[in-house]
Amino acid sequence: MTLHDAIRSDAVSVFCNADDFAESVVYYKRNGLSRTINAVVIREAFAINPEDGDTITPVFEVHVANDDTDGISSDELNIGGDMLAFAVRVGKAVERRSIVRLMSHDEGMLVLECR
Amino acid sequence: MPLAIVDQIHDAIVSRLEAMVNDDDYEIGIIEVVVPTRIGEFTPRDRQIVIVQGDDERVAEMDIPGNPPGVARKQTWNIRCHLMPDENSGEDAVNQAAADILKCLTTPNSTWHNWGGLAINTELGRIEYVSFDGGPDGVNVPIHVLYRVSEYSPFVSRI
Repeated sequence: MTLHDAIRSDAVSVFCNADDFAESVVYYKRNGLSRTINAVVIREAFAINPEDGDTITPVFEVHVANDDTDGISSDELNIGGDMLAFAVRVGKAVERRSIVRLMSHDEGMLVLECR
Repeated sequence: MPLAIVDQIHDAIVSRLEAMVNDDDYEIGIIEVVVPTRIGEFTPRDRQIVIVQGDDERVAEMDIPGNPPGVARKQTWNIRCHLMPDENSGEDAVNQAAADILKCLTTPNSTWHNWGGLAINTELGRIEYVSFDGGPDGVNVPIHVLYRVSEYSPFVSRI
């Protein structure tokens, strides 16, 4: 296994390990299909939606493996309708939140902005 | 407890725009109308209308004398439509969204501007097209509603 392969493997088994910092979320695709994956959800403070100018919503930075089974692959992601379901606040009910932006990605991980 | 006149106008605006939801008369296909709370509690979606109350302005030249006098105000509402189409579609619906919102707001044509007798007049503001880097696109259609209330009570209209 090359270092390249090891890093990609670690994206699933280490960085998105539900026994550590990741949690189970549901990925809903625009076409209606869904699957459960592991993700690191960073619950940021509220922020102004720049495209709205005035509305304030919670912002979430979500890290997932770039993988079409255990994460979300960069070529399947559609920021025109894909959503993730997770608790907005730890302990509260799960809610669907739109993936509004692909903040960054590489062959191992995607960093998504949800609102 | 009665609602303030500005709240009644707000409710009339929301109600009129909610008529767009799942109505085939409007090409754009609005899925929901949202009025955000203090802590958001909504997620941006394609074909979603978000109504945000903007600035208020005194219009002293439209005051009327009396005891109590009638005080005129101009209240802005920003009617924003989120557009997040399939990123593979190449669709650009900002103009359609603006046109459909204007069509809905001005229905019924002869009396749309007074919101059921609550306002003196309504002006359509400058349409703003929003295109953000990689995020939701959209359009904002502001409206400015001129209304008048009793100086002692914002719950009493003085049209």
